[in-house]
Amino acid sequence: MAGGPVVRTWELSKRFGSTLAVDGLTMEVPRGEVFGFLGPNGAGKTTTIAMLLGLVRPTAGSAELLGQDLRRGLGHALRRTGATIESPAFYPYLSGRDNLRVVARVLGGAAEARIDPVLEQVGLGLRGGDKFKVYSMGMKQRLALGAALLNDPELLILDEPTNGLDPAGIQETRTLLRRMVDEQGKTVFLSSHLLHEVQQVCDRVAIIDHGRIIAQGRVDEILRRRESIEVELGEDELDRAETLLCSQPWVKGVVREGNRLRLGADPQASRQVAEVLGSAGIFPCQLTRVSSTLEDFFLELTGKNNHG
Amino acid sequence: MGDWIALLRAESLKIGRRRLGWILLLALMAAFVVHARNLNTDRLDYHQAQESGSGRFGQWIMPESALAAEAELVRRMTFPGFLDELWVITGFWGPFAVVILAAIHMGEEYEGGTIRTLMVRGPSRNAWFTAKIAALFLAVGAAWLLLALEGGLLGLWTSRQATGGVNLSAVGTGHLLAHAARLLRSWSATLPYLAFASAAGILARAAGPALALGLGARFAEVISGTAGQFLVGFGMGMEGLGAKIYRLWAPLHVATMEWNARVWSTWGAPYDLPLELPSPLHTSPGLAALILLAWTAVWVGLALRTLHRRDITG
Repeated sequence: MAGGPVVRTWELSKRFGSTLAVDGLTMEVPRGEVFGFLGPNGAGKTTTIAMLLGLVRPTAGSAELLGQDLRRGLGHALRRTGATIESPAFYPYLSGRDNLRVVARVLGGAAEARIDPVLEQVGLGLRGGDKFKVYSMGMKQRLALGAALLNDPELLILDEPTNGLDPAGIQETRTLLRRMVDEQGKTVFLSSHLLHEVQQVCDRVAIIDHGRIIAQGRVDEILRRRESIEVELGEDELDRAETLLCSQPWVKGVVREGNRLRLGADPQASRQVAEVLGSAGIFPCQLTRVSSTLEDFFLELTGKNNHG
Repeated sequence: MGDWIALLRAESLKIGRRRLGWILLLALMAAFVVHARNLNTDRLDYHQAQESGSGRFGQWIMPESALAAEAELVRRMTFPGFLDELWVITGFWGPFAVVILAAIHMGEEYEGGTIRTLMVRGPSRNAWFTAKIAALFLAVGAAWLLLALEGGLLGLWTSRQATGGVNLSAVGTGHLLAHAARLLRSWSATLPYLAFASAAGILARAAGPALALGLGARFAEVISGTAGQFLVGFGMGMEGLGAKIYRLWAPLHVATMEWNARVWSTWGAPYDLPLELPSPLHTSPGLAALILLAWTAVWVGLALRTLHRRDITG
């Protein structure tokens, strides 16, 4: 198990009445990475997380958390996991510190020694004595993250952890998660809508829609596959350039947009494009390397799915 | 076991810090003060009737009856008689307070979503629920002790009102041991109520409905006892439709938590029913204890079954 996946699911499904919330979900989350779990509202992200954490029983399929089978009880695995799910839920009449004390005792009590360091770590060192009910949304999120970190977990499962955080808080969280993975070898399973954030922090993503995974892979590979080269030309040169570029084996496709051609090609090939066109006496007004974002990819996938 | 103790400490921390428990304790303490004050008012009433022949409201009271009534009130207001006045509070009002505390405490775990926060940390659901019941039970024990202490202080005041002084020499070790034993029995009799209200919290998954369910059942069992007395008392003779329906379920009163808590806490000497219920009421403390344990097991079993079978989506 040392190097194996920390989360595995096989055909995991959950039906609520007539609604199939999760439909045959199969995935693996490798150890030592930040794994982004993306999807539009109602896609089945939180239900999946709730099943992984043993809150919701699957209708079909199975899952493993840190090598422990969901059907045999997750007690031991959950003690090595830190998790937040849905909005932060704590006791309003208790202070932040006492709320962490309750969680530490549920963990077995040994985590009580980590309460103050964790409060410092999530930026609540000075507000730990305040009642939870007076916390802002951002502070509540910080406390939820603190609760997840109390047991120094091997695996963090975080459901929308940056909701309500200010930009500085989002950056701090991103840095914290990245450091936990890079320096301490932990694994983070992160569900989020903030695709820009996910792109910056995640090594790998899975995209879920209507309860099914519609894409998954390494973020850098997904983005590289979608990078392109844009060539702006005079109108009289467009047809000739298009024919010429289409005949190149390293060009995967050409799309005409006004007086521009968008080439499906490795951006490293910009020089080759210039050479091919130049040798035919075609001189582009502009040659641009166009990078893609996870957001473009996500919207394209889920948009297709929604309309298709 | 260590993990269960840690869970118990977590639950105790929550109960100790929430205002509701303290408010309920203060309400019981205030009810005790009102009860002591009422004893004194009644005593003054009967005292006045001995001289004028009428009480506070102008009601006619025979001087001999008034004398006997005042003597009884003086006995209840002085030690060791006053020690027994605590059971008026813990026996009748206590279960109401216990049901309110447990139903809200459990229902809010779902309503506020905190059950998710705790369950994702891997405690066994059985351990969590039983630790919660145990923490509530310990809190009730502490409250019962504080009420007993309050009783001691109030008794000093009522004694002074009744006799102009305080005579503690009448309180022997036997009285104190009997008082302590009854305090323990009265406390233990709250366990099925705690289990019931906690189960109501799990079934209802919200504080409001859990409270309605808990209090509704408590009222039902209290009324189950008094309604029969009224029906019999008003000479309905078990003839009307209501009486016929009542006759179907009244015998079950013997199995209520109310009756058995009363038998158990008084060690087989429940205070007198002015009229007989059409129920095979028993006065065996052993049987009462068994029935109370059985109710506790039923509610705990129902709660755990529900907790295991249902998704936690609160």
